[in-house]
Amino acid sequence: MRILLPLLIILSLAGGAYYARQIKPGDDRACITSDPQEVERSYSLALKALKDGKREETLLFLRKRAEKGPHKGGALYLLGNLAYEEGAYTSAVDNYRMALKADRTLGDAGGPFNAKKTILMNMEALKRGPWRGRNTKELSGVNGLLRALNGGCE
Amino acid sequence: MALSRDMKWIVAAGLLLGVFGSLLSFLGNPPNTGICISCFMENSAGAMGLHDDLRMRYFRPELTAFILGSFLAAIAKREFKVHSKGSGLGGFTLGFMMIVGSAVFIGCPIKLLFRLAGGDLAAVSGLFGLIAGVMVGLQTLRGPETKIFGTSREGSTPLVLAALGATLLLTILGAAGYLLESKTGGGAMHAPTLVSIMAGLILGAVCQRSRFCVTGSLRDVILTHSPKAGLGLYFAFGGALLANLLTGQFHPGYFDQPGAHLEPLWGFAGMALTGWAAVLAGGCPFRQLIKAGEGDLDGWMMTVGMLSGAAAVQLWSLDASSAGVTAQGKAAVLIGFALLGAFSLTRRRA
Repeated sequence: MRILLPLLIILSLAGGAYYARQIKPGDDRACITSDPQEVERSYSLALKALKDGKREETLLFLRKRAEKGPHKGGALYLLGNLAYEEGAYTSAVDNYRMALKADRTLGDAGGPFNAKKTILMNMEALKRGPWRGRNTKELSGVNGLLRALNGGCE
Repeated sequence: MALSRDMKWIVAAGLLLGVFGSLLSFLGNPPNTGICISCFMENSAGAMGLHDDLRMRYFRPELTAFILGSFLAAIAKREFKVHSKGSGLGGFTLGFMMIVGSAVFIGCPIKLLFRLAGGDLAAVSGLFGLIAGVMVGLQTLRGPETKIFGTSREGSTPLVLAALGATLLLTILGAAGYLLESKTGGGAMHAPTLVSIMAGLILGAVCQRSRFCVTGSLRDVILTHSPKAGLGLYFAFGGALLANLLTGQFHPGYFDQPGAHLEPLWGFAGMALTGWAAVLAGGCPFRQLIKAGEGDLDGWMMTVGMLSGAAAVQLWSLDASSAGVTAQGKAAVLIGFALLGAFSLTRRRA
């Protein structure tokens, strides 16, 4: 133990320094809003335009908002929904994943757009339907979303 | 098998802990998180405005109820005695490290049991990590001088009474809704306040009588080579499993478990850090709260360390999430190992 402990200390510090170098500035938790309705309000016109059949304009608007904000998470979630409707499931999963990263409240009960329920429903349907039989590696995105949406204190 | 009176208390404590934890989850606490000292510390730190995560703010009354329940049981049995081994900054650091390790695993040793009892196979790595951490901790304590801190001596009674008063005040302020609360996320999920307080008081009292401790039980099994020393653990797991089965909370699986990540190496490392720190501290995070209620100033020091650790893991994003473990979390665990190594090394030479 007298030899092992100093070795452990040196190795741990070296490992700690290695991972410390990987920390990116601003790599902390994403900015989230305390008011889900504020997010919904900021996309109300886009949702109305979508209902009126202005799909291309809405897509352009959502892509801009997903890039520059505000409320990037909301735009990514809506883009995920549109991709899912079109059957572009990989893109839908990616957008949902990025949406939850940008705004974790989207995965909470009572979060904006009731997104948790929609994403859970879509992902379960995807696992049982079009992506049935895929291996765990191919389903890692879906499983990651399910883990994030199944609750838990994190 | 005839059980001694002490063992009967331990069995009762384990069983109650398992059943109450499962029921608290069923009644509103996050899944597999009926009782989790690290999660509760993070929520409570948020409720006091110590960190900025809007989803992790709720004063968990169970935490303070554990301390108060332990205090009442100790008073009733005339075991309340203000004492200290002068752990000071060492105790603070150990408390801090226990929460860092737990945050990387996502859960304290008690939540580890609940995750396993909920069918979370991703938590298995944490079980091995905890056992490894306890074994390393025991190895570093070997030798003629096994004392981590000084000898026990009388402590400041007014200080402990003030801390207990603050605990009671916080419980009342939290229950009355004067502290910060989350609208969404883990902080928004909770059992009814009165139920939480009652469960906390009962568990605090029973665990004071039994001296139940997760890492302590593991330590005893390892030291005595007797599986019987882990009876409390088995009953806690069995109670939680049974209650989960009866309430529909048992969902076996690996990939889509709530509050879990798929980085088993870091789950192992996180729990190993907590286990090692707990052996040096003389008890798991839950046991520290019970010791605080008994008048142990070192328990208070570690509780303050745990609360500070809870704020730090949130502020510095050391905590893991379902997406995985952050680079800062990995760095913190490794630096934690170095700190505990240095701590063990210097203490052995003392």
